[in-house]
Amino acid sequence: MQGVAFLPSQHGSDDPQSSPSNVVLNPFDSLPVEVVSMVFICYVRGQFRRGPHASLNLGRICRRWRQIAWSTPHLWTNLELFDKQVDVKVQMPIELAEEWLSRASTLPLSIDLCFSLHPFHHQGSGTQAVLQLCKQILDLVIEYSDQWYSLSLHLPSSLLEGIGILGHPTSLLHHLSLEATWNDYDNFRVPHYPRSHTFSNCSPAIVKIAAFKMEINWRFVTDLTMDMVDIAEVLVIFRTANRLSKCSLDAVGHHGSDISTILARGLIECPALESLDISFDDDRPPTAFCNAISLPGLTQLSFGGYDTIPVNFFANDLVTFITRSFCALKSLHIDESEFERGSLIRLAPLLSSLIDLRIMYSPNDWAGNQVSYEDIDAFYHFLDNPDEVPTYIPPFTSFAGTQLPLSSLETFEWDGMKPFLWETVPGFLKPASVNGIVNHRPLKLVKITCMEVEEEDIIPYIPKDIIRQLSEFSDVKFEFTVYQRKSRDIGVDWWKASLERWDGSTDGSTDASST
Amino acid sequence: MVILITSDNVKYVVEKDVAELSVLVKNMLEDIGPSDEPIPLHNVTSTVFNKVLEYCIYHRNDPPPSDDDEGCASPLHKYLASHICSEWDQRFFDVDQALLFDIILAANYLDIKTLLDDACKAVAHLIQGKSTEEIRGIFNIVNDFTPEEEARVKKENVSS
Repeated sequence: MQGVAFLPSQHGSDDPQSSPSNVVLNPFDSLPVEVVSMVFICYVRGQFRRGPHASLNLGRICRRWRQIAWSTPHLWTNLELFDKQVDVKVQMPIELAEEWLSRASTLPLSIDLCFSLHPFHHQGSGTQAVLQLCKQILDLVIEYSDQWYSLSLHLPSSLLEGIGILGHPTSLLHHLSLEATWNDYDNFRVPHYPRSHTFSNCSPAIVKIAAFKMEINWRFVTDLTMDMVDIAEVLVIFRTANRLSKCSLDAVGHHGSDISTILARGLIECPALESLDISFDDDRPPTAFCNAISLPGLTQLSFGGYDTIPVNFFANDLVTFITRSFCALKSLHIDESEFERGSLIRLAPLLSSLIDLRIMYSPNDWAGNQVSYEDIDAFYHFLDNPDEVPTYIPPFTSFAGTQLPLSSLETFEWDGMKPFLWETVPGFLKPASVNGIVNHRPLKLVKITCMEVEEEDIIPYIPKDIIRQLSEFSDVKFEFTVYQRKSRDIGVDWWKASLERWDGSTDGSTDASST
Repeated sequence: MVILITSDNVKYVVEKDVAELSVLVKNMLEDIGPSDEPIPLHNVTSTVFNKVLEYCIYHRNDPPPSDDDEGCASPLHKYLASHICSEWDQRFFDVDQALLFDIILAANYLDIKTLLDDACKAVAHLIQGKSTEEIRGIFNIVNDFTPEEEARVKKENVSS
């Protein structure tokens, strides 16, 4: 600090009167120090998209600016250090970090350290030097644990594990993000990967964890994001996190842990959870999850396989989960290619409160659960005509017999690598009679996106008669887009393309091919 | 109504709720009690007070500024809060540099927090994205670092 906060006596005087050229012309000289500080705080906050070190820029203008900036604690509450910024030859980052944090005085701190040690950036002996420097900075940051408000560490797992016991309470900590760097992910699959107890007394509200196991006080967590997580860990967290309202879990797998003892303790209820995005990276966890968990407050669910990993889901599991949770889902996002045939028809009776339905169809070539186009289209025939239930569907047990399936639906989005059956769309909108009761869905948006993948998947134009029928629903927005094989990156407005097609044709009902 | 007199002896008759946006005026009114006595504003000229009054009249019905400690807000929240969002405010602060700084001084003297905050944002906006030399040029700031200090600044520059 001493070397950085220059003293007025070193060079002239800080009094603007002593510098005649500044007296009149420099308007900042007329402002009191506290007002200049306010300007600086506005500047730094407005600069956050331009890089983390805006506060330092202020110290490069003149001695007065430097003194004021250095003594304004609010300018130094966010510390961000990334490995690309670190120059081990200069050895400045540790000194810079020390000064930076001390200037923040006692204010709550937001700290973001990202040292991926990617081989592309650091090679050979350089890696060890950066690792050493990273350890020094981490040790420094830990000294300020009583001021942590937001802590984000993206570091090699060896550093995260080595943090040890914290010397101060972390009562201010609100946001905790711990990510082991990508090259540790393979290690994470080892069943008995070390678990960190460093944060076991912390009670953050927002938590993000990737490829790392740790103990925290889950009771106060409201927003959780996890990546590469064992199903056993998920079950334990859901049993404890009573305030959890938003959760995103990517690549939930079974990493060899024993979940039978957790399941033996009975149904796990996570009462406050409203929004859940969950993806699985193997076949066993979905069944365990659906049969062990009850989420009565759930309104938004995204449920599927992780990335391109083929996972087969069973409608029975989701039916059990939704029925047991007794939740009023408003939004559902699934990939229908991951479910066995008839799954959506079986789920539909449980979705009377659903407002937003987003369906993907993106099958993996190597997926074992191959479903024909005819099986997929059966659901859309069913929406068009609820009396047309395929014979392979077991009799409904929980369907309110007079209710239209998906009777609250306002938004329907479908995005798939196959043709969509345009003929079914008017049926989503028209009033339908179910056991003598006429009803209709309050749809406001129908968005369908098709992609031609195989040669045989040529997307047909929307039949002229269908366009005419849909045109009658003037309060509904239709977005139909097709990505053709010949121009994969440019989506074609298929409504417009179909209209142009039929304008030059006499019979739209017989010639519906895009070739 | 409240009577205010600027430093160049221009008299303003202002509605009380508008005048009381200034904590200075509000406190003075409370101190003197019911009275028709004019309140002198020693440090504000009529040119600047016209602008201050324009701002106060436009913002008279705004909710009071929050006293929450922003230290815990997210960087994005702080970023958004650091910008003048209203088109009217942007036009209001589109004035020459001297008047902008006079508005800041008047807002500070009159203790009008929202005007001071917004005026500081307007000045900060003048610096955003500018280089050291550009900032010095905009405000006629003389580089008064010693060679040793300059070397230190350059070293920081290398590492950030």
